[in-house]
Amino acid sequence: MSKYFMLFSFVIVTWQAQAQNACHFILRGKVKEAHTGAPIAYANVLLKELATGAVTDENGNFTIPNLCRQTYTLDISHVECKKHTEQIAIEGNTESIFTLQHEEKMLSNVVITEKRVALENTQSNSELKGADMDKNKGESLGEMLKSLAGVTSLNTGATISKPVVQGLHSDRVLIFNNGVRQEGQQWGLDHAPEIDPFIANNISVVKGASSIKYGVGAIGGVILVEPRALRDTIGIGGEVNLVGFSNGRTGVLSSMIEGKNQRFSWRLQGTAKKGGNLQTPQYYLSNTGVEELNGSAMLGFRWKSAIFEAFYSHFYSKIGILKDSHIGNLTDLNNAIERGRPAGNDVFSYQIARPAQRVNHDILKLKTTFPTGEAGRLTLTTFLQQDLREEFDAHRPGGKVPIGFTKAEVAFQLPSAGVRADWDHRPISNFHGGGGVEGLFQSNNTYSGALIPDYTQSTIGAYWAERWRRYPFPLEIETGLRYDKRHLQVDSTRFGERNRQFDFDNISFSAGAIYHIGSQGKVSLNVSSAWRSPNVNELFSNGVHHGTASFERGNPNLIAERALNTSVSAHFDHDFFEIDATVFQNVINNFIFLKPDSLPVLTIRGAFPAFSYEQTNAVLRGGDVTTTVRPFKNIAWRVKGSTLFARNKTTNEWLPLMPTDRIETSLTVENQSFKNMTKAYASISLTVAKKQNRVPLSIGDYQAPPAGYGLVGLTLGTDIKLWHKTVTTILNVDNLLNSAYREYLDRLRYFASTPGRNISLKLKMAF
Amino acid sequence: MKISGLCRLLTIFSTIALIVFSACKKEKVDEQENLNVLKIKIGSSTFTWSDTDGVGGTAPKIDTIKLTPNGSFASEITIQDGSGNLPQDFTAEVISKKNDHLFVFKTTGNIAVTDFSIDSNGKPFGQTATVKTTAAGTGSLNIILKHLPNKSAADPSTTGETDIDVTFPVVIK
Repeated sequence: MSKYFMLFSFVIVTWQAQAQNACHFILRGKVKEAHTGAPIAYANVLLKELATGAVTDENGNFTIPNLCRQTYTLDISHVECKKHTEQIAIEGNTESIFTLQHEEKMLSNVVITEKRVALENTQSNSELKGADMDKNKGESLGEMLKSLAGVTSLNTGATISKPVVQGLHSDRVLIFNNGVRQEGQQWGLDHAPEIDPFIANNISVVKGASSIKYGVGAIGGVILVEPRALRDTIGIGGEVNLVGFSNGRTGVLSSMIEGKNQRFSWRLQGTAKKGGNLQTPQYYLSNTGVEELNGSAMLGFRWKSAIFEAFYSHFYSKIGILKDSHIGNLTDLNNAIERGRPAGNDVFSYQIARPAQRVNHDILKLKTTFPTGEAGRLTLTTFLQQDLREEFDAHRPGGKVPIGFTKAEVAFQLPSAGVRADWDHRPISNFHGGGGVEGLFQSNNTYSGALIPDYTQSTIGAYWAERWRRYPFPLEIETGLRYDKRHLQVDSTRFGERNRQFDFDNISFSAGAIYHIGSQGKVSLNVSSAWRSPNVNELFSNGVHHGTASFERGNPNLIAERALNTSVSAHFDHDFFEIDATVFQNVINNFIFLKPDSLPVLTIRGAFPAFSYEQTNAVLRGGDVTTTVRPFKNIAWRVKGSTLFARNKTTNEWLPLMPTDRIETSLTVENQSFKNMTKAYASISLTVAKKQNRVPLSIGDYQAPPAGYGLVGLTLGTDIKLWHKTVTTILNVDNLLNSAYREYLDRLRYFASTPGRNISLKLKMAF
Repeated sequence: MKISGLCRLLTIFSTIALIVFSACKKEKVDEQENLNVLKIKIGSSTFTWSDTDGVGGTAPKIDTIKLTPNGSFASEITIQDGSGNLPQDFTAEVISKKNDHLFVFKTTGNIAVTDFSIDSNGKPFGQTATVKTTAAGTGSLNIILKHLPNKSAADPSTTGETDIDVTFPVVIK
């Protein structure tokens, strides 16, 4: 650790030396009408101290340059409103939205609220927050994100769900948990993200290659799990969430308490989840229970001009695996497919037996942000993280039937440590931006089982990115460059590898532009690259994969994957019409995939089809769109769709395991009020997924892709006032008609149907 | 902004972290036992199917079963982990759980397997049996060990989980 201290100290000393006092901050604002949100043109904005000011343009925008670090008095007036005075503290370049309440009779009632405007992404991104977040609470991260266009999931049953972003998943999608790169065991197709979504206030997905800011691996996209900022007013508050699902009789309790005194701001959060056997329309799925117990703590304080934040989270889950999916050999798999359903008739139970997985994940993060004089702002982040993953077999060949969960057949422990420094400089003649350095170290210990060897891996990276924006000129331009170097050392007697060294490095870039069309629309273009070094399982895997009855062979000669992603997105937002659309192309050179071998591998359990990791050039093209039409007041008709064409360019074939085209439409009656209920809504939805016909013919599948399906959903939600508290209540029904269907991207589709109707009740109460 | 304060804070947190993480440190589990040898004694000869280097690697060694025509021989199966220096026997374990196991024999050519040993419910088990041959010729003997099969099913080999599925070539002369 002492190396990190030295780095920190060095950086701090360097930046402190540059401290000066100058007046070059910019206040950018937008004045909006409070009810309609319409911009207010020709409002007068006066800065009393400097006796300067500005007049808003037709989009309600204004800019006041050359401000010092101090508090100013701002007068905002308009011919139809009485002059209003507001204090504003300038601590850096400030962007604010001011809402003026438009009074028809010119009463002296002007309300000004302030909100920071985040920089807009040039890259396509979607966000899950607010009511949409509430609607999906209690589900796993992978299942929650499915409500975003262009995001699907790769499942091993209903309880193990991995997010798929524009066709890519696992090691090709990075997850950041409260700013920390999640270092789990994402290489496995049945390894779900080790994250409690209740930590998050919003979850956003950056779609497409984006190594610049996020580093090695961001070939398909990045998922950002962001908690709400710590409390900034003195006092204590909290939130309780209760969720119940009918299917699996699953219950979730998550609560949070937070507070702030003169010095500290803190938050404690915890989630408990328990579910039993899930039910399809015809039968129960034996051993599909789940339990989760998660907790996190956050502490923040200011010290002089620096802000400190400490974060710790623990994640624990135990997931039962459908008994029938644990098969001995290919004959068993064919028998299961022929049967079309589990052999036995199980009943409901909360009992989790073998086969099962157990995961413990810990993250400790420390972060500090402080101004480096007038030059900018420096953020230092360091983390320690550990993932412990254990898998329990139902039985060992030869009659030994293990009982209990003391000895795992497969166990890996993956500790990681990371440190990064990000520096944002003050705008220099319309340029915003900054750069940073990052270091990551991890080592894997395989305690039992022989799926992957022990290894250590260290990565260093440095980046710089700039954005040009001359407010209110409609065009914004952004570009960035990054270099990463990774060293991998594999040392495993079991694999016959002594001190085998691998080195990978790469330069990534990004360039993007946004063109604003009035205040309600924008078009953005982004071209960016990303890379990923082959994972240890791709280099050294050597064994039979149960559940898929295949033998996987690693390939130590693999080189790094490189992706070049181009996307064009458009966003328009009018009173009665809203659209978000993206088209993209992701060209991935040296794309690593499992290629079938010509000869099967003969084992004592019979012959298994064999696959080896090979590389090819791939191209993924597709698009997604979300539109909302409001033909009448309080009626919203939403259509969301996505399509994907993923090709292996070398063999000119489709790539396997890619999401099918799908479309979801919903009709919502919103914003109703009755008695003590407000914000009441009712929504009915139809989701249609096509049969996946884009499958490679040379890579056989044990069973043809399942038929397409349509699912009806129903949601009723409202805020209820009870004892002066607001309880957000949502009643949700998934698969209302209890249809039996199978999903192409569910690895258990060979063995059983997807679970049927699921009625859930979600309550959220803040105090 | 004092450096010492920052360092002190970082030291406290990293110490806590190291304690937390080292507390979780696990011990390495020994190499797992692997079933990779099946021997069948027919009459006085023993024939072996073995893959002691584990799955993949060198191809399994498979003996050819050589029998005389029109014979009737007692058969007995043993199973082992042959990867270590001393083979580890699994047969006793399977026998102790014989209600949950079944040896299934599938043959081609002039060879048949009958008179299975039975489990404690009177259902077939098959660890010992009788192998009968008729006229000279060639064929094959496929031995399958099922775990938790439905022993009453028309074809029990389509039920339960497969632990072993090996095939010997057979020459009768």
